[in-house]
Amino acid sequence: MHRALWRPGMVVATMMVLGGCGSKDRAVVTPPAAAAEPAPQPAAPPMPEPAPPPPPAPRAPAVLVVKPGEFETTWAARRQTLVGAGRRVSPDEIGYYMDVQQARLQQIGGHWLSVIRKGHRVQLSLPGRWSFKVGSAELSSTAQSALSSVARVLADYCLSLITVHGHTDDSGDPAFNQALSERRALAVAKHLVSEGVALDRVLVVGHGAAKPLASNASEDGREENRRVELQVDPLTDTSLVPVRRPDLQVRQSPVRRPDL
Amino acid sequence: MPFGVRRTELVILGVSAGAFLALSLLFATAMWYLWRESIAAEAKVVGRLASTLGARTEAMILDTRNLLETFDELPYPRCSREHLQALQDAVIARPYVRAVGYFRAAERTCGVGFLQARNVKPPKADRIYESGVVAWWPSPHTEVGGLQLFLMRYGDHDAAIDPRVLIDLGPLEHRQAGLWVEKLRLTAAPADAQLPRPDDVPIGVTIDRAAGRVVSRFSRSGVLPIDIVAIEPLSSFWDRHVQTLAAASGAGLVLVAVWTYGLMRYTRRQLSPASLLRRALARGRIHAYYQPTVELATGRCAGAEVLARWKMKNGDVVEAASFIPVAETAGLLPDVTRAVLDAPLGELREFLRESSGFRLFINLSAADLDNPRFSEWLDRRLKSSGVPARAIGFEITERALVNTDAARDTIRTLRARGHTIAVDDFGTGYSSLSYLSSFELDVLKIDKSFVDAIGTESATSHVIVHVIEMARSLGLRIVAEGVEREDQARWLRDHGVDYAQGFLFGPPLPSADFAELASRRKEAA
Repeated sequence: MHRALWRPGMVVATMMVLGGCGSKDRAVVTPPAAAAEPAPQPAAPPMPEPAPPPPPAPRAPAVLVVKPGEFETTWAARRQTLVGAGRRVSPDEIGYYMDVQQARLQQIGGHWLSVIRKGHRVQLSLPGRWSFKVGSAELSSTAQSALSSVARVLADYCLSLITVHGHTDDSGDPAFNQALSERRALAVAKHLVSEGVALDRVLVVGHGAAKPLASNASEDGREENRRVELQVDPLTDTSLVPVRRPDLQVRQSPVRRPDL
Repeated sequence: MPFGVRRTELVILGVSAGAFLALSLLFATAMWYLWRESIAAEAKVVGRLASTLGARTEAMILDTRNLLETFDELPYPRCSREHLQALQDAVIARPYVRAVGYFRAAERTCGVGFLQARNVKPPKADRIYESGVVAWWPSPHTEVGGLQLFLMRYGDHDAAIDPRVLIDLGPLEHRQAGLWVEKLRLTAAPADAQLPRPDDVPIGVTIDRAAGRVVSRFSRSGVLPIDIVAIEPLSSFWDRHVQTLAAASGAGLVLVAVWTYGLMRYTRRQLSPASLLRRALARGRIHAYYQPTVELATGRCAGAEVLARWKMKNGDVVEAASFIPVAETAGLLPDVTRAVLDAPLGELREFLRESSGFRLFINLSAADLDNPRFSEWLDRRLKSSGVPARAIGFEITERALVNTDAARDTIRTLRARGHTIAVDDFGTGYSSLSYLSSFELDVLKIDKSFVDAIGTESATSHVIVHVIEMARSLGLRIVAEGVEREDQARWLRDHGVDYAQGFLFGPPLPSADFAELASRRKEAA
């Protein structure tokens, strides 16, 4: 029964992969209960609809928050689910798909957002300082508008799994830090979803102070450690394509490179 | 020539070899310079080519990038007729843009140009710039219809560029050239050219002898670093510059030959006996030596024959017999005569003024006799030195007498002034007695060959008797030359010869030695 309900949805999703997926993202966001009745969306409009998606339900679908310890398995499972549903990039197009997506993110990200490429993964980093008030999980207006642009790109390039990682420095209570990192990541994720990114493409995980980038001994180091990272991984059959391609260039080079 | 012949040849050889070496060195330097110039010319040509190519490439890249930006700002609905028309216009205006595509995310939705049918999705972008420009250099992944395209995407549009149009073949001539942007090969002409990578080649023009080619590299760092590498077979490079080099080497060789030949000629002339003699005359190295003439009856020194001697720089003394022929052919005899006359008027002046009856004999050549100014010059010199004319006599060879009215006049003039005229080397010429009698003469000198024959049974030994008789009949006094033995002196005295000279009485001596000998002989008398 459940399977049968999903089937039309899969057909729709497959068609979207072929024709662009702006609307498909929204279609998937629609909760399964609602998906049963309207199969009417296939004639997708060319541009993503700005209209906010689902009507508020008593059990509103929420972004999945994962405990750090369960992250790997949850991530792999979610990925498999999406790929299994036909939402995947053809293996020989992954490189192109992520290249142009990275370029697009760089184009809109400006100096506020740092874009790093690791293999097929594109990683975005939001510095905590500009994004949140101290100790708060409320997005600043700058962060909101920037994330809206990011969300539009991510919605366009819908064949990826997005993980939002929250990090803090080590000052204060570890439990509070853990909770704060989670809430901040969730705030980012919710904003993305509110701007049209499909709910099931997003995972949230809070790391507290567990994964510092720099030493917490200095203020600069703590500053660097307070951040939210977005990992964007292409949806593809892992049995065919390794996630990491060692020969691929790693951006973020210290030497200044020519730009166009 | 007995003097310095071998040395002269050696000097000529040495000078010529030196000159040849120096010129060859000069020539080699010139060739090297020309070779460098050829390379510089090549550098200029390729450099100009490279700067054109570089500027054109950079302009093309920037133009494409700006074009893509304007596409994103077009106000028309995407893939509408107006949108596609705007893209079409831009493509047609540019020879290097083959197609423009509009994308939604990674999918080409519409576009214009020649690539409608196929989606080109290379697995890896060569550059993703900070600004969001993505570029794919030509590779098999960007190949469409056998042509490897340069792709650039910015925003929602991409452009496919044909890089072949960047390099036009015309100015390349025989070269192959490649264009690198950001050290990535963009294009080459011909397309399959085997070119070294820019980083493997030094900047400028290099002769790669091992590979037999000329490699040029020029780099340009504008917005993006651009390198141009050109190669050319050494043979065609050589062909282009060989005319200059050949002309220059031909001219150089001719120059070397002419110069060497000229220098050899000059040196030979400078080192010729005539030149040496001329220089010796100018520097006063021709000296007078005096050989005493003795009165046989008394043993008194009655005079001397003045003989020219060449004192060379190295101390050698060269006898007159060795260089008089040279002086004769070079027309220098008058100068020798003058030098030999001048010497005694200086160094023996006092002696000549005081000793009456003492007579110096100086040899005159035919040239002296023919020269009417000789007697004037002589007169002036005698007057200024105060030496009386009778103290100076002149010896004229039998061959010099066989001559003209001018000679006859000179002899008459000299004789009129009081000079004694002697006929030298008598018996060696062919003059007859009657011919001899037509000159006004005072003394006959019997040649050494007749004196040598005295006391022998040779035919010549009888001739001297007749010579003596003939001289007597003409009223001439007789001087026998080359007397070396006492018995010869005795024989001559017995046969009525008045005077004699020879080694028996004294060799030719420098003035100081002679003056001493003459005064001793005077005393002996």
